[in-house]
Amino acid sequence: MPTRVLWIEDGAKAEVKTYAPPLRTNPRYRLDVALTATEGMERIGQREYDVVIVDIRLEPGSDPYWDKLYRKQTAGSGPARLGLELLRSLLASTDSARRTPVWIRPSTFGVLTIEPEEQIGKDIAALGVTAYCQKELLQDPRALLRLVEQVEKGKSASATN
Amino acid sequence: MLSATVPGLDLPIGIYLVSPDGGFIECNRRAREILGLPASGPIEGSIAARYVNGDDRRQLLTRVQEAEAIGRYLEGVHVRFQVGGRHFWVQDYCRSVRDPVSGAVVAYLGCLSDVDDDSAFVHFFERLPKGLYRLDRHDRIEAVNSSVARILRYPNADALKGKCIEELYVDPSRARELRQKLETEGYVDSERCELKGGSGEPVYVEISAFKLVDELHEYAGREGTVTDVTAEENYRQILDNITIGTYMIEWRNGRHEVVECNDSFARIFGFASSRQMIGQDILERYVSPQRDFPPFEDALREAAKEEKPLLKHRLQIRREGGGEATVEVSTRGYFDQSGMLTKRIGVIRDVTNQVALETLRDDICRIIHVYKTALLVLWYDMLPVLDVLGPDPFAYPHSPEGHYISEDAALAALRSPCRQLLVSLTLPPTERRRIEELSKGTFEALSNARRYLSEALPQGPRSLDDVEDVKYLASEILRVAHSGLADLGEGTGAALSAAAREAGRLTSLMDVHAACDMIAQASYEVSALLQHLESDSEFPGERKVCAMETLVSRSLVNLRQFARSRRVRFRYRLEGETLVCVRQQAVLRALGNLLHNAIKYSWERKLGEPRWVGITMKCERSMVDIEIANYGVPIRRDELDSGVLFRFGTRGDLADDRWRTGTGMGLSDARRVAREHGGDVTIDSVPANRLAARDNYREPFVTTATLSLPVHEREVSQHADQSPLD
Repeated sequence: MPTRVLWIEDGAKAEVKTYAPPLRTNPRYRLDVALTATEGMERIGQREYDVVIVDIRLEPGSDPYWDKLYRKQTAGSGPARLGLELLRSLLASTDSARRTPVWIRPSTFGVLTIEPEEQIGKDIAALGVTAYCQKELLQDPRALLRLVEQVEKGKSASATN
Repeated sequence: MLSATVPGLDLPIGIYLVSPDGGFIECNRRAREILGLPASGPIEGSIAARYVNGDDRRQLLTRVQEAEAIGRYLEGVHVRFQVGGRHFWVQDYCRSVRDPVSGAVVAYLGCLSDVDDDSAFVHFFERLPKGLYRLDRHDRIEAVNSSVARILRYPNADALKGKCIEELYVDPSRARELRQKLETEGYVDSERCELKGGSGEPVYVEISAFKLVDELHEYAGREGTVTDVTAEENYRQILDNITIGTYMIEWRNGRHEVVECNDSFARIFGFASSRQMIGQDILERYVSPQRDFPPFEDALREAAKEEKPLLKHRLQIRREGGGEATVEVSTRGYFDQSGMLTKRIGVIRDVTNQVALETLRDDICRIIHVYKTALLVLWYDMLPVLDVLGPDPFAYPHSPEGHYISEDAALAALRSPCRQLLVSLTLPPTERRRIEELSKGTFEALSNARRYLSEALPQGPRSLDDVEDVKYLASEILRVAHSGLADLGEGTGAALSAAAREAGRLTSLMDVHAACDMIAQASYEVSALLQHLESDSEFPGERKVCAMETLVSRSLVNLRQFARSRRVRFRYRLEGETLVCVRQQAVLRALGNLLHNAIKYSWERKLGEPRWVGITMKCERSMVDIEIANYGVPIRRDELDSGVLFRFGTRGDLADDRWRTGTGMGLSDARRVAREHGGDVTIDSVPANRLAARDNYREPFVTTATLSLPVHEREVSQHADQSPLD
């Protein structure tokens, strides 16, 4: 069975050109792309993924919850980090009314973002997410593939433990 | 009894007895003298006829009633009488005589004295528009005229009498300050103070007063004048609180002396208030008077010749306490007959921050110019790369500068190489085993490629994403070919390499074309950004009357090359002459933005057919509409309804279809230009197929951008003249 990968990435329309082919042409993987926080949550609700890669700077999409959060964050001085909020809502939610799928675990997630590690590292580590890759100019097209492999490796290590 | 008594009262004061309607009953000798009556005998006529103002008697009787109601008499009222053409003042004391049974008034008994000289002064002071007042030694109000009551919004002068003056001051310490000054200097002159009006409202007055002293030369109070300056003070405060400095400078004693200014003017020069600035020689505040004043004076003279003020002249000034500032001066100069600058009145504005921003903008513009040049060089450098990668199936014979590859053309070109690649990857079992033995990585790469091509792309690529995948596979095959295929059989290895090379060559060609296209677009966007930045320095008043058709034609010429590179044709018909009064460069930029978008987002209707952009012009009486329509990328309905597309830096959700680049400033800039001219830009986007769903954004849409501008008034009035009468 191929590894099912979800990539939640608002820049995917442009970046898919660079990072997606190594995954798409490899029969070991099945890649789905979500362009917004709303779409990402919908995909997660629809099926189980083996690996979920999340961008930190995400567009909200049509869900008023994410839209409100986005407006609130962009009203401040910094950029909107909806990807981080998405991870928090999945991995650290205290809202008992919110049903999180049972397959959701920190080891399933990786972060591919333009945010440097010193700015985002602590936040994602606090959620238990350790697979991280910073987007760079003229990056190896296999960066996404490598990050997915890193998440897979982390998952099998945690399963062994 | 009274009528018998009165004539015998030979006193130096006039005594009179009159009926309620004023008819004389009896008068003593002095009253007869004052009132011009016969010295003896019966008296005819009425006292009412002696009043200069008939109303005065009615008022006097009313006051008699009021006084008697509280058990008093009417005392010492000044009344103006006339006898034989002479007007004079009398002081009147009066009471009523009543019937002891009914209580009705049967007569009025009074006495009067001729006080003409005395009363003239009292009356004069009473009616002065300026307030007069006197305070006692404890600064209590002893006397005020009615003007003081009017100025302080009190009902009458009596309402103020006895008040301590400090009570009337908004800031009592200011009252004490004035008292101190009076005691030490003997007088105060034109001191401006804020007092409390009768209802607590602020009243600004100017006070002048001198000290009164007793026989021991001790302070015994003061007398002075009060002038209402509330309106003037309010204006002064408005002027002081605006951020623009206002001033008057006069040539006095060989200096350009500041004679009037507001606090903002003083603050611009680093002073706290106008008082510190008044009297200064303004040239001493210039950073370089020798360098800056002569051209300033010349410019003032030139403006004065045209009877205009000099506008927005910049000067460098020194600020008190250190530092320099740039000010923008708008002023009118006054010259005497010898040509000497005698006076100037104007306003100044601190534009130091604006100058810094302008400098930054100019620096950015210079850098952008460098990037624009770099982009052009890069574009030319790409051409030999295309030659090396040839033969090039994407170079359109009719469009040598064309580098845009349609999706259909890209997919068609790759079909055969993909088939060839798949055939080459289908290796005989013996060779597959050999590769597997030699290198697991190579085997896996080739197996993955074959599986993907045969399962996912059996008919070749179907989308631009597939093209990217083919490019990646080709590069992977070439990578392993360099390392491992040498060990394969010569024929197999060569065939596989050749197939991968051809696929790689074609996808590389596509990339180079895409890069050229991106560079050309980026170059256009950079130019647009440059124009946008530079447009801020454009003087907003420079509007000229021109034909709208000419502007549209010029923008079509400007965009011709870009349209050819995208195989886009313009469909237009421009006739007649519709005049508009506009900033031409700005409107050309707005039209260019809309045309560029229309070209960029156009699709082919059929493979190989040119795209089109339609331009139509409609003139309703007062507005001219230029509609620019294209067939291609849709705009989402929610984006149209919310107006989000007109936000600076925002692009439509579907705008990066096929990796089109853009800055998202064209529409907002075009609308800004249109609105500056009293017009607007609107957008609509509907499915090209009328039967298609309005939210099926995979299908082509017809998008129409409309630039509306007001027709020049002269033309509107001509149309109005020519219109038939009802």
